[in-house]
Amino acid sequence: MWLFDRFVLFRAFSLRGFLNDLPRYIFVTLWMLTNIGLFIGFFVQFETFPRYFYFRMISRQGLSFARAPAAVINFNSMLILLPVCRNLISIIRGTCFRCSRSLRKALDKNISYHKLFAWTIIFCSVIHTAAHYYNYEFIITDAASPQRFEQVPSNPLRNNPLIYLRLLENRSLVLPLDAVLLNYMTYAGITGHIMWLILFLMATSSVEVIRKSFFEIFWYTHHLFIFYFIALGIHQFQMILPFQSNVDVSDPFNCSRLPVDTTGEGCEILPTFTAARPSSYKWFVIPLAIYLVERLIRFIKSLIPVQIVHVEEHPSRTLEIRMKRRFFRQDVGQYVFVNIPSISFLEWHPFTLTSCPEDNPEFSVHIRIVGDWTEALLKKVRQKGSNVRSTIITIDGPFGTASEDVFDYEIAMLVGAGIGVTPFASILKSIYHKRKNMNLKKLSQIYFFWVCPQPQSFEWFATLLKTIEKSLQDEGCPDLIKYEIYLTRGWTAAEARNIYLHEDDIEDPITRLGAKTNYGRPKWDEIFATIAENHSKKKVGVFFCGPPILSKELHFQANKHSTNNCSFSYNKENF
Amino acid sequence: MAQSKKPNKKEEVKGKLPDILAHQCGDCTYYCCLFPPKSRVSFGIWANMQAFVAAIALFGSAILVSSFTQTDNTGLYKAGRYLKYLNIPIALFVLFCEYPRGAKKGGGRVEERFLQSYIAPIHYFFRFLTRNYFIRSIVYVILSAPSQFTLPTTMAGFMLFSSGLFYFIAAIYDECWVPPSLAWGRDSDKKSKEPEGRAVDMMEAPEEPPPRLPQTSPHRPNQDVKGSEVYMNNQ
Repeated sequence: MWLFDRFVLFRAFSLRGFLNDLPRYIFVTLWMLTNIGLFIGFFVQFETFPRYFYFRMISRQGLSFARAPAAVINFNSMLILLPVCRNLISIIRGTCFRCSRSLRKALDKNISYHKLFAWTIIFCSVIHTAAHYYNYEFIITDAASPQRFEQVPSNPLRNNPLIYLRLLENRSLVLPLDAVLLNYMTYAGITGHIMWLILFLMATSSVEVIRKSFFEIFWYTHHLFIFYFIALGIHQFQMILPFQSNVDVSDPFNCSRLPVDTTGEGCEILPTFTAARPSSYKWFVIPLAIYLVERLIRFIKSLIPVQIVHVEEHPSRTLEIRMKRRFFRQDVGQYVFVNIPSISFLEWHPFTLTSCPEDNPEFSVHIRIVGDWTEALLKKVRQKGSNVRSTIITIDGPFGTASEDVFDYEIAMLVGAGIGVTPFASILKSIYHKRKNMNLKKLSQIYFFWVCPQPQSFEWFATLLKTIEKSLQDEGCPDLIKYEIYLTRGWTAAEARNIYLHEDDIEDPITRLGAKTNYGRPKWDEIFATIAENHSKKKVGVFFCGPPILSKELHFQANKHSTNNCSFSYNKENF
Repeated sequence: MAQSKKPNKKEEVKGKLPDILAHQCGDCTYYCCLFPPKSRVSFGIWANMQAFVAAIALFGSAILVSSFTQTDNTGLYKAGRYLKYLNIPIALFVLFCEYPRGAKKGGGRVEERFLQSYIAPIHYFFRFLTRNYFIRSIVYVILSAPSQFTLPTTMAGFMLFSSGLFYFIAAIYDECWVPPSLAWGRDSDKKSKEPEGRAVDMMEAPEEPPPRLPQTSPHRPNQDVKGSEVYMNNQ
């Protein structure tokens, strides 16, 4: 459970790690404070302001509990569109090159902000709807029993509390206070239910199980957000919330207690009412415009032709696609979105780039076949054969903060686990090329740890490692990259026999690499201790990509083995 | 060291569903050809999610409306004053039915809900009823009827209705509820001691040492970083 994760994270706390993530913590704290401030502010406004006094006498706390979360919903609906504008975020990141790296990395977590805003909207919608259900109860109570206004015997408002609601001026409809009518026959009621339905469908299809396994359900359902915003804009257009417009001449706190024909107390003028104007649209109009600009940018970028240079099918259902495009400049460790109109017109899928910047103008992605879209792609590649280069493909990107930190350290420890090994293809290739061009700056030794349950699905990476290994040997520095491979899966009896028989071979029987495959989980304690011993007075950068549980373990070990002599700084990369 | 989150008591056969279940999930009788039959999309998991959320919403709104007394004479046909109490057991029943998440159509690891492993055996016991999605969809559509008689439960009941609808779609595509782990089925005693190709969680070390000779061989590149258990065993 996530509680245990938080506890483990506490063990791995370090000041440097905290400072690294500081912009993110500041942003979330500010956002939380704004939410709480809005909630409390609007709540107090609707509880204490005189102009809502008469309506409050009917709806009691229901009014405040409905309008306060409404303000929070408005605020979050405004914010929720912004983290999804990935091109604009890239532009901000690019122009902000003087900003500190941690500030730019804060922009990498945009989807997690998006989820945060979304869950806040849902939480506040629950409170808002429940408050309105309470309102129905109170309204019907007061419509049925005017005894509440007994304290003012000759107040004409006493006998029929509905009168002052019928004193609405001009625009809004005069409505009898029937709950069913309010629920189903007003703009607010209908759009409220529509929004609830849309939020329900979007939220249930956005959970991780469905997103990871059945992406199409998530993707197509999520496009209902357009109707959500339309409904949110229309929600208040019927203007049925009345407030008193002449508070200065007829103070409700005073005058509601006095009989209507009292003179000399300043209550000769009856209260007049007007309806509250819609305000939701003012919140999200600008971000909606920004989002439209973003979609326009995406569309324009998708018109730039992409030439497929080479498509190769690797063992274990992996495809490599090498492409070229104008105006494409890649950094290490970035990702792109790929769209193939002939497979699916609307779907964009993200893939990490496995080429390095020195490969310019070519770039490549390795695609694992796991879902409907990738299956269709594989079928197309197999069918078309050499004609596959004529397939139209569009690329959006590259996105993501470049992982250039690797080159700032003297010693680098790269750990790739499972599918997280993909960005390291880009990094290792870049390291190799930089060494060739004498561009390697401070980096003098790289340790690469590859942890995976089984080598299947990553034969292409093993081949890449082998190529790099051989090239480095040929060029005379075989020790630049020292790598270790750990297979954490169990083994079958046949495999065990194979390993036993090939014990003395130069090449490992499973991965065909020079380094023998290690079986089992790496003992990080010993690994860190050995590296600390061998490299005193140096700073080691630890870079990891893979499942979060291993990330916490590495963070902890890096903190534990950091001494004055040899310090490990753990960099959590957002690949 | 970091702890594994899942209970270690019951072993799981990941990935492969045995053939007996493939047959139980029906043959190729597709009633609708909107989507290609080989699609991996399974509506069952989504419908399960919807019903789960609907049950929680129904429970909350039923509690809310049970505390209201003034609205009893309003609403559809005035029957709400009695039917509103019925929503609470309905919500709890649906919550119980929906809590265990079933296996995915194409296989693969399913993220189980917290403490699901104690409720799934009951579902497996009643598998005649819980396996079929047609039964579930009709039951949920019927159970969403009492919620329409009071205002706050209307939306929650509609969510339950929609989950019934999606279960119907899932049933058309021949999906069924299969326990994510078969440790409670009748095959549990037949499980072999050494499962072939058993996938181990990344943070769990294999229990047996690997089959290696003592480390006396001269052909050993890249040995300066000693981190593996292998080396420890052979010191």
